Amino acid sequence: MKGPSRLIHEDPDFARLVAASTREEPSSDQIAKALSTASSAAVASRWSLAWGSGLGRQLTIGLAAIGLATVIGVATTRGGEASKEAGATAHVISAPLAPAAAEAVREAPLQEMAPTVSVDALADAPLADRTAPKPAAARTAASAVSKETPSGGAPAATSLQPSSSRGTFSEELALVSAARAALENGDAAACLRAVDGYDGRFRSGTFAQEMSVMRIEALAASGEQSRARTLAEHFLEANPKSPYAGRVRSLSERFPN
Amino acid sequence: MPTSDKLDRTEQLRAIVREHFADVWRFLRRLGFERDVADDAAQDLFFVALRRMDAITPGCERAFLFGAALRIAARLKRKDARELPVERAIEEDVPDVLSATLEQRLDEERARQLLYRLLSELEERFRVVFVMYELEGMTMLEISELLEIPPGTVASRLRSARDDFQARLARHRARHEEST
Repeated sequence: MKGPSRLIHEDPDFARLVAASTREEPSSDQIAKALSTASSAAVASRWSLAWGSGLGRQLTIGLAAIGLATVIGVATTRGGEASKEAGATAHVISAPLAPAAAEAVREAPLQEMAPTVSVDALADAPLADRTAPKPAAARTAASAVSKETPSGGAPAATSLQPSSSRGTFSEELALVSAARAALENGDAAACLRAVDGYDGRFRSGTFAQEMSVMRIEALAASGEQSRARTLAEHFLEANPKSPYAGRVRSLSERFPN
Repeated sequence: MPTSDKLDRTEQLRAIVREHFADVWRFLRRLGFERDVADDAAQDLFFVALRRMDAITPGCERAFLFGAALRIAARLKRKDARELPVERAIEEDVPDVLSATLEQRLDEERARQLLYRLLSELEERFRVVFVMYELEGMTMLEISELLEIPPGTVASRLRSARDDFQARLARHRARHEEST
C-alpha cells in the first residue's frame, strides 16, 4: 500500500515547520531521568526473568515484581531523590507511574510480545505503594537483593558499573544537574567546572553524552567556538545516531568558519 | 546472571532510551501536548515500557513505544490534560513565520507554535494519521497496524487530514498577506 507523496516534499513551508518541530528536543534532564529508569529496569527485568526461569509461575513472579519494584531504590528515578535509610538494602522508587502509562503499555500489541513475566503487576501497583515502604514486601525484596549483591549494602538497581554505587550515581546526576543549571543561568564557567568534575570522576559515566553536549554548549556560549566546533565534530563522529546529534549539528551550524 | 550480562542489559535499555525517547516525546508534542505533559507522559511510559522490553521483538521497539504513546495520549486527553486548547490557539495571533525568509535565522519556536496550532485544529482521528504519516514518516501499512484500522480507513483519513491542514495553512498565508 503506497501512500501519497509526503507534504514535506511538496510544500517547502510545511517542510520548514516540520523541521522546526524535529529540532525540538526534550530537556537533557528528561533524558537523564529516562536513562536512570533504564538502569533500574535492567535490574528489575533481570530479577523477574530469574524468577521466571526458576518457577514459571506468573502470580509468584508478579508478586516478586511488585515487591522489587516497590522497594528497590533508584537514586534518581523521577525526581532524583535518594532514600536516606542508613544501611538499608531496599529503597523506595519515587516514580509516580501514571495508571495511564501502565495501561497504555499493557495494551500494546500483544502479537509483538513473547510470553513474559508479569511485570504488569508492577504497573498496576498503586502510586501510594511505590511512595512508601511496605515492610513485608521490603523485607522480601531486600533479602532477595542481598543475595544478588554480595556487598549487601548497595541496591542492585544502581549498579551501572561494577564499582558504582547508589552514592556515585547520585553524584553523577548532581553534577549533571549543576552543569545544566549553570548553563541555563548563563554561567558557562560554572558549567565547564561541573563538566570537568564529571569527566574527572566518571569519564565513561551514565551521562557522558549529556555532559559532552553541555561542554560544547558552554564553550560556544563563552566564545570558545573553535574548541566547541572541534568537540562537536568529534561528538558527531563518535555518536552519529545520538539523540543529541541534531542539537550538536544545529550548534555547529552557528559557529563561524 | 553474570555482571557482564547485567551491564549488557543496562546498556541495551539505555540505548533504547537514547534512540527512542526523544522521538516518543516529540510524537506526544505533535499530538498536542505541552512540554511538561509530554515530559511526564514519556517518563511514565518508559518507566513501564523498559520493563517489558524483554518481550518485544527486536526491531519492533519503535512501534511498541509509539503504540503505547498513542494509548497514553488517548487517556490523557480524556482527562483534559491537553495543553493546547484549540479555542485559545485559534484566537492567538501566531506571528508569521512562513515568509520569514528574509531572516537568516529561523524563529523555530514560532514555527513550532504555528505547526502545533494547525495540528490542534484538525479533528482528532485525522490528526493522528496526519502526524504519523506526514511528520513521523510512517508508512500507510505501519499506521494501519498500529491503529488497528483498515488500510482504506487510513487512506481516507489521511486525505481528509491533508485537505483540512492545507486549507488552514493556506488561510494562514492569506491572512498574513492581507496584513502586510
